[in-house]
Amino acid sequence: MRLKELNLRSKIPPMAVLGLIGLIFVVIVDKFLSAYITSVISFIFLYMILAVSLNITNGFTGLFSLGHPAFMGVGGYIASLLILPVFRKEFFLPELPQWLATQQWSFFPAIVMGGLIAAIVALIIGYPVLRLKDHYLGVATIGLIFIVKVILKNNEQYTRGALGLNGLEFKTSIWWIYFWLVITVYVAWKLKFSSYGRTMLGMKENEMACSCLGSNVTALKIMAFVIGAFFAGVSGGLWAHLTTVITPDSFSPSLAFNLVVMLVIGGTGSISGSLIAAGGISLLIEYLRPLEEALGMYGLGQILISVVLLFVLIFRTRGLLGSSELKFLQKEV
Amino acid sequence: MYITELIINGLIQGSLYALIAIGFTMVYGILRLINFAHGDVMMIGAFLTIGLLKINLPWQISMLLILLVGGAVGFTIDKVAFRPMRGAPQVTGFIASLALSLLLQNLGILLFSAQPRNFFLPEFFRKTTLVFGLEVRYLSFVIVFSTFILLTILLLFVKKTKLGIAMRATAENLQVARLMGIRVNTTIMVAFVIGSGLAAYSGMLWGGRYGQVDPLMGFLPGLKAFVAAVIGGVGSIAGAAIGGYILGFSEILFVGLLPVGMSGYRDAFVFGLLIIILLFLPNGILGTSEEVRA
Amino acid sequence: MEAKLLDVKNLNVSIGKTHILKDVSFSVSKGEVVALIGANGAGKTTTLESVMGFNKTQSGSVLFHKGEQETDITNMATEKIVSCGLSLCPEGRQIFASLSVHENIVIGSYLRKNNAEVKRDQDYVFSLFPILYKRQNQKAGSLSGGEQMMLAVGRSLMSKPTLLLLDEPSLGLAPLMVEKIFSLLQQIHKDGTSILLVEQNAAKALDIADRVYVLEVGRVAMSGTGTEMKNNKEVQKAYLGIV
Repeated sequence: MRLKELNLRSKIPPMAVLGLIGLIFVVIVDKFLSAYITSVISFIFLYMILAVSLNITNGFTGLFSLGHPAFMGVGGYIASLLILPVFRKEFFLPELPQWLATQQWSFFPAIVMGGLIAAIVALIIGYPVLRLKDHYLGVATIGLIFIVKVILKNNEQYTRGALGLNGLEFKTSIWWIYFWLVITVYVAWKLKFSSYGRTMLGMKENEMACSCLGSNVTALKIMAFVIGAFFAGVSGGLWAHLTTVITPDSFSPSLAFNLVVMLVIGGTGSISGSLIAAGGISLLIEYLRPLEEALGMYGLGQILISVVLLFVLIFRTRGLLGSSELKFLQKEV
Repeated sequence: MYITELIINGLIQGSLYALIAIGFTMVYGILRLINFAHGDVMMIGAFLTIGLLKINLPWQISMLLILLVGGAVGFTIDKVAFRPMRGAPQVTGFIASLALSLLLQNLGILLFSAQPRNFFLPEFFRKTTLVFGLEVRYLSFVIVFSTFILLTILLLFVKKTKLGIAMRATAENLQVARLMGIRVNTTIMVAFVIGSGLAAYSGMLWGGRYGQVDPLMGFLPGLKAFVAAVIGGVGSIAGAAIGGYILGFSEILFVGLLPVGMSGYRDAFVFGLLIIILLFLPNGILGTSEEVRA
Repeated sequence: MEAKLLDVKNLNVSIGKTHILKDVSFSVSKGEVVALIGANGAGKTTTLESVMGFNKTQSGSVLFHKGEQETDITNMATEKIVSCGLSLCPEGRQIFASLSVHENIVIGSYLRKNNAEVKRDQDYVFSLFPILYKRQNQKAGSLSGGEQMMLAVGRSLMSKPTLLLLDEPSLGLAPLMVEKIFSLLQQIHKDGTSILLVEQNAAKALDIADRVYVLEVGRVAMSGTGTEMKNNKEVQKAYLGIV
């Protein structure tokens, strides 16, 4: 009996089933539901990408990084600059250097480039900064958000400063987002259940023991940080071409906070947990947005999220799933 | 002449940061908790002052009231948010304080809208006098001198009184402090009350100086106060004050001495400084040795 | 029978999932020096910490006689237990390094109100440990190990405890210093303080103890008077190095 179950499990991996279901869902949404709902779903998926990628950085290794918005900013601007048609570049950014002003990339390569540059930034910064502990790392990464913001604001030549870039082409269809979501989850899943991932989770429990056993703790931290930053950069590009606007203030500490909330509620280290939590919380955010406008009660959504988090922290610190995954998704029984 | 102006501004800005940094470091010293909501208490103080000014209370009473109400806010924050989390890992408190901060900011937006409001300074503070040939507002004197006075009182309290020594003991070793019969929850509460009172007071002065308040005004100064505390050595009250002045002067000099195009980089400079100090001088100037690096 | 000052009955303490103390019972009577000896990891420190309220007791009771009253101090908050008249000199001394020597002494008397009496006790402590008087304005962290031990004991005495608990006072000290500390403990004992002592240095403990309990893997394995234990073959073999 057991043997048969195992066989079945390995023949059709549950994740693939889920991916397929998701695909069917996307088809339905795209074909049958309104553009508004499609965009809401797009945002929800985008938050899921962000949450899972933050989980790689924070959840697997136990690092406490709030830096995702910084990498989103980097990736978002790079992608935007590359995708922006030449004639618009002339209009928005007349002083752009020649080699950049003539570039006009298509969507996918530009997004990937955004992610890569963000990853490189993460690599450079990560090496010194990841040595900081816990909340010192947290504050340093918040500092990073501000540093990136300031750099973006003060280089009008390249970024149009505080005004940002608007009128970006709407290129982020729900298909693209789903594509990237699948990739992110796949990478995260593969990583978590690889030997790297196991070591990372071990690091979370007891770093000293791990390094005594020979693991290169620093290298793993940087790896997790860089991978997370790549997907954050990608998300930045996706975000910019979903909302068609990007400004230095698009990606703020409160975004980082909301992502952390998703991780805490879903359970840091649990991919399925962060998917569920991201889905739930972003649904809340998107649902409350029009409500806030209608009632004139701005900030209500954020207040709600903060209160929920405080409750969770006080009463159930492990979140929904802790470090584990939903039972039916697990490979090993 | 220009240098004089920079120095005076540095003193003023430094005082404002010092007031916030002190409260920050007091709580951190005992709980090892970075309290993001601290900056927002400063914002509360600013808004409260606007309310008090509207009802035409004499300014001396307003100042006192702000200190007291700020203390009450601190007491509430401790009781409601942080006490239930005693014993949880560091990061939990950090996240919680971030949650609290966003909560307060958004409550502010909800109640007062995100638009900045004007801070109407009473006649007395707008009068000026000449200092080294510069017109300096009475407000500026009040800022600098009241900070010095409050700082002195606090340092005496912490040095000489039994409760002050108890606070220092609790900051060093909470468990052993309990062995002395010290009620640590009370000590922590006192740290919150004093710190928050000072932060609210700073908010009042800040509003007066810059003429504008908005619900988000506290977050960045709160973070910078953390930088100031780190410069001076977290846990040290004198260090926080020194750090506040160093930060205040650095900011003013940075903007004042560098070419105009660079002045937008001021905040990046502050956070860059934070990262450098955390990496190379983690104990700051006066701090006690602590685990900053993994 | 002497009045029991501290009466611990069937104490069961678990830390996390590990059951550390199993049905531990012992007592200290007024005017006694009682020693808890045992190997590393036997649970001696856990016992003291549990009495002082640092660990949660799963079952059993800790009763303390404060004057005429018997108070149940099981699972009471540490600060309250201290106010009942117990004082612990913790393992590793743990003086407040950033405070001055004098401030350490002062903080020991935190709960006391009568300033005249406190001053008298300060003088008493300084007479016991003249080196502390000499160094009273120095930061406590700058003292040597032995001096810190003296400061820790002095600090504990300042709360005028009815029962003084000490956790491994000889730890990390040179033999000469150990001698000094133990003769001081005898002095304190003579001056009227009851003592509960946890020690790995069994020989020294047996020298000054009226009664001894031997802790093994979280249980009380043996008990008796100091002399009985000194002459006990098993104790000699296991803890005194006498084969």
